[in-house]
Amino acid sequence: MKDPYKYFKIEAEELLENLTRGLLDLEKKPSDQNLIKTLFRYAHTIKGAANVVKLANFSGLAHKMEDHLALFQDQKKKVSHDDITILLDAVTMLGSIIEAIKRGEPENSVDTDEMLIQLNVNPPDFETHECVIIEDLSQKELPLYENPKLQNVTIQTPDKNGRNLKPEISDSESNIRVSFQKMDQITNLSNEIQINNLRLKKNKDTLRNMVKQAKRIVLSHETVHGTGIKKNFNEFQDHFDNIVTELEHGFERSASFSYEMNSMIMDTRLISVNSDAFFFEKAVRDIAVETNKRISFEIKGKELLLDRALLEKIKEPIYHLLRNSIIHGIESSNARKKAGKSAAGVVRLKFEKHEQSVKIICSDDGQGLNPEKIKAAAIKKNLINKKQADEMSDKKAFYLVLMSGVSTAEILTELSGRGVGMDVVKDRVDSMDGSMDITSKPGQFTCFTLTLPASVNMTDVFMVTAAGQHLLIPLKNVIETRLVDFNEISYETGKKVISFQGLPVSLIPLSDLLGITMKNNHYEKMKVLLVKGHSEKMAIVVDAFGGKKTVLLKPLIGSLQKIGCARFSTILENGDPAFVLSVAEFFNRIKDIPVQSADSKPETIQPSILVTDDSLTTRTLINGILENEGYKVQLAQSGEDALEILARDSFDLFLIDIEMPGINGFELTSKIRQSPKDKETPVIILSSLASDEHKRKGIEVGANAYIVKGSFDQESFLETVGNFV
Amino acid sequence: MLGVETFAAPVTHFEEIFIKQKIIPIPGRLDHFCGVINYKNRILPVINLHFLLGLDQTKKRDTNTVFVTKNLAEDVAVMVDNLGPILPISHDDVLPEPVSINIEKAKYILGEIYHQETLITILDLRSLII
Repeated sequence: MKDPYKYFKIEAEELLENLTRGLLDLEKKPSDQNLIKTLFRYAHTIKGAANVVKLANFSGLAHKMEDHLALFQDQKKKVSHDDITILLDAVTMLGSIIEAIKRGEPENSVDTDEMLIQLNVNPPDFETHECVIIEDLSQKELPLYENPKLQNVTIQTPDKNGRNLKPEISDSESNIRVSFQKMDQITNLSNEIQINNLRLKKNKDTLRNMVKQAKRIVLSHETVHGTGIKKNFNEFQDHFDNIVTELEHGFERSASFSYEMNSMIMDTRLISVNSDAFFFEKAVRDIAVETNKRISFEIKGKELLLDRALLEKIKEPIYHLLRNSIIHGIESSNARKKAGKSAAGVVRLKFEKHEQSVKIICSDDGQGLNPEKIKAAAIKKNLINKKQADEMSDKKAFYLVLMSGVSTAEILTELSGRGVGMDVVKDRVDSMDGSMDITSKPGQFTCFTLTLPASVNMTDVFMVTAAGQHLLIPLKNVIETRLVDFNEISYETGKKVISFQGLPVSLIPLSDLLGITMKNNHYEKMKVLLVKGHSEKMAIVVDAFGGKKTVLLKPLIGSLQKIGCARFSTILENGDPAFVLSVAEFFNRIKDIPVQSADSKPETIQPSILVTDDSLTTRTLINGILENEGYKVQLAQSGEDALEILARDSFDLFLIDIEMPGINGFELTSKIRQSPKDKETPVIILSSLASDEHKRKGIEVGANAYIVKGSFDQESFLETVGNFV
Repeated sequence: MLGVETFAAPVTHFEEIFIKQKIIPIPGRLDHFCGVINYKNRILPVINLHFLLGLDQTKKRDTNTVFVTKNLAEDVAVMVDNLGPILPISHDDVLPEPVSINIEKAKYILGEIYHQETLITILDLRSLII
């Protein structure tokens, strides 16, 4: 079915954007008569357009805006802050009507009555006159909304004398409007050609090499077939070389054209930050009005050209950052005065473009983040425990604000404080394969830096192989590759770590992160990839390194979006699909919260085991096995030692040797069974005594299982342990 | 065919059928997918019907046919042991799914039909889109 509002929506959205931008400018330059005229014209145009498509409420509201703006013409009335607020609210309401229409709802689903009252001013004399013109316009302009060829016309609105009623082509250089979806398809195809060219380039020398190889084979048979074969082959090779040269030239020309085309397409996608600056300015203004705070807002890097898709995706996260800055960051005027700060809070938004990335820095000169308050909020939400909070650095605590539910706002407001918003920022940045940095100084400032890939389609990745699969890791997350010897591995509270720049870094096989099975090579050095996330590092063990690649990112379709560890997919040179893994997700998978160090999983999750054995070898062996499985292990070297530990700690399982000097294992088990605190805790006896008599005695004193050291098998041992905890 | 059982689905949901397409596994433990394929430069998940319907996993060499769906919320590929001919059926002949079937599996099934003394289960391919 034909959409009667198709072109109206496009035009109206553009005009509303222009109105918002203009009104924000008007606040800065309230006596700019040209600007007032322009705004009047926008309101008038949008009213005419709404009349054409019979949107009476929309048109009525636009008409009232027009009246309101008319008051400022020739300085009949001075533009006030309140005027701008009302007019901006009216623009927002017109936007809501467009949204309602998009959803298929009638325009009267948005109630405009109150806004009409707010805008109700004494209409100037020429109102009736203008109305007549509008009626005329509505009839004349009808084809505009039906004819797609006229998409890029600007309606010249009537001046006071009613001139310039006819639409005119806005630019002598005629433009066409292309849907962003189509633009994306064109970009993808162009990028595919680029990737294919890389593949062809890589293989173009293969043909020549093959002929050289064939020649060597022929020459080695020269004695058998006579010298004639050499002559024949030389002729063949000359002919072949000519063809290959032709192909090479052809390929190079094609590659050059396609490169140029790709560059042009990428340029076409670029829009200036300035085109969206009004969105941020309006957001800041709205929140400042709502919170009754004076804000001085500054945007730097407006002139930069960024990919439209990137700017579109990042709008919402930036909005949340600005909102948080004003609501939580900037103090009340009184508090600022006391702190010796300027009355107006300073909020800055800065865009920086680097070769491969875009940086967006949002900062404020407010009260800064309070790490203690953040930790307390996180504890309240059970996201961390007290011990973790105590051990956590301030810098790491800042990252807790990115988690859903963590808010330090003392009062919940409509605007903020519910702890949602910052997690939206994090999710969006992660989904765009970006990273985030937070710095803050109490009483002075807070600064969020988002780093995002400049291209939303192409990216550099590092290929690794694990379990026979080619997997891709964004190159920006890769610090280095390393061959790690087994003796370089140490343990920190049960977790494997290696040293990187003097600091321990968790060592995790990729198989553990992805739930795949990798080959287990105990003899060679491990291939390790050091990767970095928002604020931490990790060493990942892989089967093989594959090297750097440039790939075209394809978003995952619906069903595949549920694969947590991958954000994008791509098609490799050989036509196979491959997944681009998310390093941020790696960190999420190894711990409960992104800032937690790998070694500090909540104690409640790790069952605790007390191992009592007088043999150092056995103790160390069992400790290693259990800790690797994630158990929390404590060691006792004698029965007495164990009882001492038991006096202050509780455990989920006891592993006890029998033959020990002093209190032996049977006696220890018996004492445990008599202890009110520990009598229910399972006991596994681990002994080299294999006779049935010993086993029977073990059960008699209260052991739940009996494992003979002589037939020790790690798998069945862990299974037995697993059965009891 | 899936193992010894025969299934059917509306022909309007079949885009293309092919044999032995290279299937790339998906990292992670996702039993309901066999992996992904490159279908005309698009990456489509391959649904593991055996798993969804609670059937015994067939040996890899027996499972060699993949079909790509259309007219669903999203296009997916489905792996089966092999595909039979197109059968015209009448709605009147379709029996409701047996009451004994477990709720989890019932959502994938539209009903049953007897064709030449064979019981054929009619699948609701729409329910495969998760």
